[in-house]
Amino acid sequence: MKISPPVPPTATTLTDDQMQALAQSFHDIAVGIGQVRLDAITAGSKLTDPGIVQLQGYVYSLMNTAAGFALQAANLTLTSADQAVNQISVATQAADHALDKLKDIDKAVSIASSVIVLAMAISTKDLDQITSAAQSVAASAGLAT
Amino acid sequence: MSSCMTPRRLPLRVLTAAFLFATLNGCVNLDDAAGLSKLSDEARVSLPKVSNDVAGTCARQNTLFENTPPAERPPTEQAQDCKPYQEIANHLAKDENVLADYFDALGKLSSNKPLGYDATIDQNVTATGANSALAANTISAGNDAQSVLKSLANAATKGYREKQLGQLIQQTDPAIQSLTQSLKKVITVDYALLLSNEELSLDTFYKGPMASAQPNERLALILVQRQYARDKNALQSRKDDIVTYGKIMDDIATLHTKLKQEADKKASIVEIGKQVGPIIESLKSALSDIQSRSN
Repeated sequence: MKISPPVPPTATTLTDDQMQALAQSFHDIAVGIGQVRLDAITAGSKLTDPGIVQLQGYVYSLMNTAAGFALQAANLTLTSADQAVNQISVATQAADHALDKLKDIDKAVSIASSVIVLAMAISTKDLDQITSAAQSVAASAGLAT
Repeated sequence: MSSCMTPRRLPLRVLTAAFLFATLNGCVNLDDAAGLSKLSDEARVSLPKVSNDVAGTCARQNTLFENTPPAERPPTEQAQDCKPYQEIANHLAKDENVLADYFDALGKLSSNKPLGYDATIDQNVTATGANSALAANTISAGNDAQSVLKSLANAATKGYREKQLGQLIQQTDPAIQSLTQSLKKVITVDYALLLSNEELSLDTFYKGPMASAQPNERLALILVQRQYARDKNALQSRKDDIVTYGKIMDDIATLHTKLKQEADKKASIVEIGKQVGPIIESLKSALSDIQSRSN
């Protein structure tokens, strides 16, 4: 019996809907981080507390990432695009869910920083880096990987 | 008195007879019946009010960023580069202009007026060339706009007249359908996300300081709350514009479909006017809504 050689994964440009879904995911996480920051301020944290300042920075970065996906990076081509998008989607949903009603600033900082790393991994278009970063997001969000 | 002039205060029967007579004589054309030229003038004014704000929202977010005390944000964070947003706004304005040019051309052709686009078309086609750094919908809209421009250039070069109107409408229909849907998507999805970002920027800018206001800052807090409410209202108005813009693009697509169907049937101008009348009214009302919200 003849054994066919393994087919290498093909590079696919993300569809417009996939780009929009990515943009929306990063925006939603920015909203979640913003809410954790606001809750902490309402509970007595100062606007200049290091954790609050750090969260503010993550809100800006995530919004910029979302805007970039929505408007600029249409030519994002990934190897095994569907697999990559699926991993990103699982990770960002876990992050969004974990941020819901979260009171712990350090935990929010940890989730946000892992999501920023994921955004950078997406820009490298390297599936291994995306997979690794997505697993880190899921882990920081408390999802067993 | 010319048979094309409508005398005042004449009984309805006389007016109807005059209209039918004028129609039979070719005095009433598609532009009279549907007001395409006037519609394109209104679109030229109203649509960019929405699409220009793709750059506007970036500028407003940067203002909020710059007005946030440096101690409250990481020193590494910087204001956004609004150039790419401006570039997209410019592309959208050109694409919208092509739509307006096209409907203006339909109006002119139907009344056998010269098109007069020859000199500018080639330049515009180059100007709307796709930029690979832009989002898919923006690129798609640009490509469709080029296709419409080429049809218009062709019509102008070949000296199209009223009889070839149906041909132009049929040729251009796929590009018009695609262009309207691409523009709709850029505004209702991409720009909508940018406005959601702006809303988050607004909330972040106001809510934190408001939550940490001291009891002796009561009056200052009231002023800030009012300013926040004003900014939120302005944002809501822009969100309303998004909905209206989407409706306008759907109406333009429907209008063109109707024109194509009527052209296929070789319907009379009166019949075409009857068919497209409600869509034109809906379009005028939507364009006027955007105008009034921007005042």
